[in-house]
Amino acid sequence: MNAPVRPAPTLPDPRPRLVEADGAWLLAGLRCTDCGYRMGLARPRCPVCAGPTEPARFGPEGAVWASAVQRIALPGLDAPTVFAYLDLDDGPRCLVRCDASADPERPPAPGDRLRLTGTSASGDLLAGVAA
Amino acid sequence: MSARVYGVGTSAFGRQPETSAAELGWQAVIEAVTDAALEPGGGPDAVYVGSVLGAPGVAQRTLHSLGIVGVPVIAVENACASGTTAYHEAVAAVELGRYRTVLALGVEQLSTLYGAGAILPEPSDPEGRAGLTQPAHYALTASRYLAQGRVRPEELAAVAVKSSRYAVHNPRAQHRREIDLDRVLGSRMIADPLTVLQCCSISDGAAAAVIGPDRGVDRDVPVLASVLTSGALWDYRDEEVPAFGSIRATSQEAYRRARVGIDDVDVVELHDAFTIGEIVGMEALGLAPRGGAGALTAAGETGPGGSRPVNPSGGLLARGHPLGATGLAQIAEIVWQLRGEAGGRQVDGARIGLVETMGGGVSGIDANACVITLLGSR
Repeated sequence: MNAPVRPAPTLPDPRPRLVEADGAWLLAGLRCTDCGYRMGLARPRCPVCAGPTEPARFGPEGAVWASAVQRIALPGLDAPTVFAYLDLDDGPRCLVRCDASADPERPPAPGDRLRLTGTSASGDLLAGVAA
Repeated sequence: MSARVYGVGTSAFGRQPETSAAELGWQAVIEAVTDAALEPGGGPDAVYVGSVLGAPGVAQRTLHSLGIVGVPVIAVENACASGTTAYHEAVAAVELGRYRTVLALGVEQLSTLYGAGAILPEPSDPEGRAGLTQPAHYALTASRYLAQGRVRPEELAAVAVKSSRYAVHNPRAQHRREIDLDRVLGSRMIADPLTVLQCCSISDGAAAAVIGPDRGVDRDVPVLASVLTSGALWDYRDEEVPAFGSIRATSQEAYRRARVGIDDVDVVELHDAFTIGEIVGMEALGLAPRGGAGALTAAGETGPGGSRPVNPSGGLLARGHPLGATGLAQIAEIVWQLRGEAGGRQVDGARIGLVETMGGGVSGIDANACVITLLGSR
């Protein structure tokens, strides 16, 4: 009888985390206590000044740096998918997937305002048009 | 600098699923070593090998079949700049007297990993885990450039048209057919505004160079400078598009070390994995003013007979982009150009050439690595 095959562990998720607070979705990140640098991902120390960091929450809104409509499907990701780099107000830059409210034929332009709207079932950051 | 390129060699480029990475490497190495006309027992004394997505051991698996054994073999990976990183390290080794005659090899076999479509994003990277492919990553830059009025869609397409006009004269190129603007703009959209003919294809290939100190042979091509950098943090503080800063800073240092300026450069091979990459690269190198690369391209100045020839090999778009091999394929093209051996794509009177390769794929920085080298005679 063959020994049972253990499934391989899942790769740690490298994406930023969102938390819900007071009805808004916020990015749970870090801020350097020396230089104020804002980070959306875990870091052992500030990569700019090597200073210590403290937990910080950013969002829920920000301005689009650029967007792109990906029209090829991947395993687990349909096409078209609208991605955007979102500079959260007083926060880090993060990659978001525009939610169902986005029109792939009229994707957000640089400077447009978006609002974090949660996390997809697969763990992607979602954002939609800010009111 | 005292380093010289003694010889170069490449395989053909394109989908070659029946040919192993080692076999591709043999073709490149044999041609380069023959071209170098080494004395019996004259090396190579060490080998640097760049490869990105293949199996571990591809370096030794290639080399021992050629009888290159017992010497130091150093494998490097810097994404699309792996081949030029291998070259850069070979040059440095010669300059420092670490080794006398050094072989640099780049090799990649992608068609048996990816049948069709884009290379799957890296799941350990935040952007990769979200499913952002390289075409979409470049499309972010392209859409911002379009919004800023720095380029027009037809100017992006003109890059692919131009490269195809060179590639018909390159017997080793993956795509040897001339295409026009309508065909480029009308091809399948991959990530707006980049259509499939504005994206490099899955490709297999190998390229190699033999480098050593000045041995008094006229055919050897002098290395004027070689600079390798890794990217800076790219975040909310940065209004600039990715890669521009790295290419600009690396090129400024290369010009300083070579004691030349961009106006002294006669021919350029730069990293055009996607059409927007050539536009941004041209401006970062100083070939065109900011927002001017598109017009220069559309006017034909970067194409055959133009004043600023860019990617006469056909570039990554038309020659092909087997990741680890690309940088050394660019080196080979520049060497052929400087020797007057480039046939129908020859840039007349080329004396100084520049190679720029930019490797990406790690989010949070504007490039994994950038290598810029200048070759020729001042």
